[in-house]
Amino acid sequence: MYLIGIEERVITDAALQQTGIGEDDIQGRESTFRDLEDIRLTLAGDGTAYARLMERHQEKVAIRMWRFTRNTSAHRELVQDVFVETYTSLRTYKAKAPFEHWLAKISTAVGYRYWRRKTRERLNLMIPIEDWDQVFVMEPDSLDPERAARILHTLMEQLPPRDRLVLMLRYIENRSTEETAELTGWTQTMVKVQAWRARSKLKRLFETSGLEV
Amino acid sequence: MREIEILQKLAKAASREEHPQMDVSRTVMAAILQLEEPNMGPLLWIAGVASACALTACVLGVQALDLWIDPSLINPFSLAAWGDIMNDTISRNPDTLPDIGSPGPTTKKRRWRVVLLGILILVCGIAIGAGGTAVIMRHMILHAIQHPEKAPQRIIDRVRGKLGISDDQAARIKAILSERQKAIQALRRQVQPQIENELNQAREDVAALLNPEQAEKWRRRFDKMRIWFSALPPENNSDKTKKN
Repeated sequence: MYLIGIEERVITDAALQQTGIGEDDIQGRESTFRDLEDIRLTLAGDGTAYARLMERHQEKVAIRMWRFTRNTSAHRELVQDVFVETYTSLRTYKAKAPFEHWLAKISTAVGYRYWRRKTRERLNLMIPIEDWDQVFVMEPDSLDPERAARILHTLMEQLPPRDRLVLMLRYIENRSTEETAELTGWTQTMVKVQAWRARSKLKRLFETSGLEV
Repeated sequence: MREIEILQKLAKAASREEHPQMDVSRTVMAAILQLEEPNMGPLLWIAGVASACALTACVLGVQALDLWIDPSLINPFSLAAWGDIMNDTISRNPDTLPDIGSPGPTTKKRRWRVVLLGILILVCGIAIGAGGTAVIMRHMILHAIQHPEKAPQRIIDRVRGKLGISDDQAARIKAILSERQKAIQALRRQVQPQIENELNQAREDVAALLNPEQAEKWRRRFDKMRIWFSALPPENNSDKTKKN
C-alpha cells in the first residue's frame, strides 16, 4: 500500500545504458529495487526478506554507528536498535528516497538519542599532550587511525549532543546543510545556527583546554 | 576556522580505522519476534484485577442473598454485633456462654456457599498463578538462552549460601565455570550452522506439503518457535575487525 509506484521506478539495465547512465547508477538502482521488493515482502510477513535487507545494509550502519561510540558492546547494541526501530516503522516508509537514506536518518536519530543518554555520564577525559602534538605535526595519512579516532571522540565528547551531531554531519561526514537538515529533522536555518554555535563552542573548548590551534 | 581543519584532519585519519565486524541479523530477528509476541503483562493485570473484583462481588452477593433470605443472619457477619451479644450475655450471667444453637437448614446452605466460594478462590488462584508463572518462566528461559555469559554468576549466586562458599572460592569457581562455559559455547557455535540447516530443512519440507496459505502460517509459527534455538551472541574477544 505504501509502495505504490515501485514498478514505475524499475528501469532495466538496457534502458539505463541507452540513456548513458553509468554502471554505479545501474547498481544503485538495482539495489534500490531489491530493497523495495524486500520491504514489500517484509510487510507481507516474510521474515527472510528483512534478514536480506539487514545483510545488505548492516555494514554501512555499523560504520556509521562506530562514529557514535567506540565501545564495542554499545556499538553492537546501537546497530541492533537501528534495525529493530527500522522494522517497527517500516510501514511509514513511503519510498520517496532510497531506503539507505531513510536508514541513515534512523541511524542518526538512534545515535543522537544514545549521546543524549550518555550526556549525564560525560567525563572530562584528557588528551595526552604527545598525542595532541602529533595532530599538528603529522599529515592525516601518517597519523595512527586508532589514535586519531580516540582523540576525535574525546574531543567531541566534551560538547553537548546537538553540537556534536551537527559537527559530525557537516564537517566530519561533509554533508550539505540540506542533507543535515533532512537527517536531523531540523530546518536549514536551524542547522546553520546550530553549526555556528557548535563551531564557537569548539573554539572555546580549544581555548579553555589550553590547546594551541 | 582552524578548529574545523583539525577536526577534519582527525576525521580523515580516523576514517582509516578498523571497526568491529558483526552480524546482528539473528539477534535483531529474535528481538523482532519478541516484539511481535502478544504482550501478556497488561492482560495479566486485567485478569488479576477482574478476578479480585469478581471475588469481592461474589462475597458481597452471597452476603446480600443471605440477608435477604434471613435478616437475622446479620449477626454472624457483624463482629460488632457478636461483641455486643457476648458482652451483654457475660455481664448478665458470667457462667453462661451464649447458645448459638445447632446448625439449621439455613446454616447448612451457607456452609455450602462458603465451600463453593473457597473452591472458586482456589481455582482463580491456580489460574492466575499458573499463567503468571508461565510468562515469567518463558522470559527467564529465553534470557538464559540468549545470555549464556551470565550463567556462571547465576550458578554461584544460587549455591553460595547453600555450600557456604567464601569470596575467594566464589572467584575461583567463577573462573572455572566461565572457562568451561566458553568451551561449551565454542562447541555450540560449531554445530549451530548444522542446526540452522536442519531447522530450515524442516521448515521448508513441511511447507512443501501445505497449500500456500497454510505454508505461510506454518513458516510464521515456525519462525516464532525458532527463538528457542537462537544463535549465541558473538564472542567478546573474537570481534574481528575490518577495514572501514
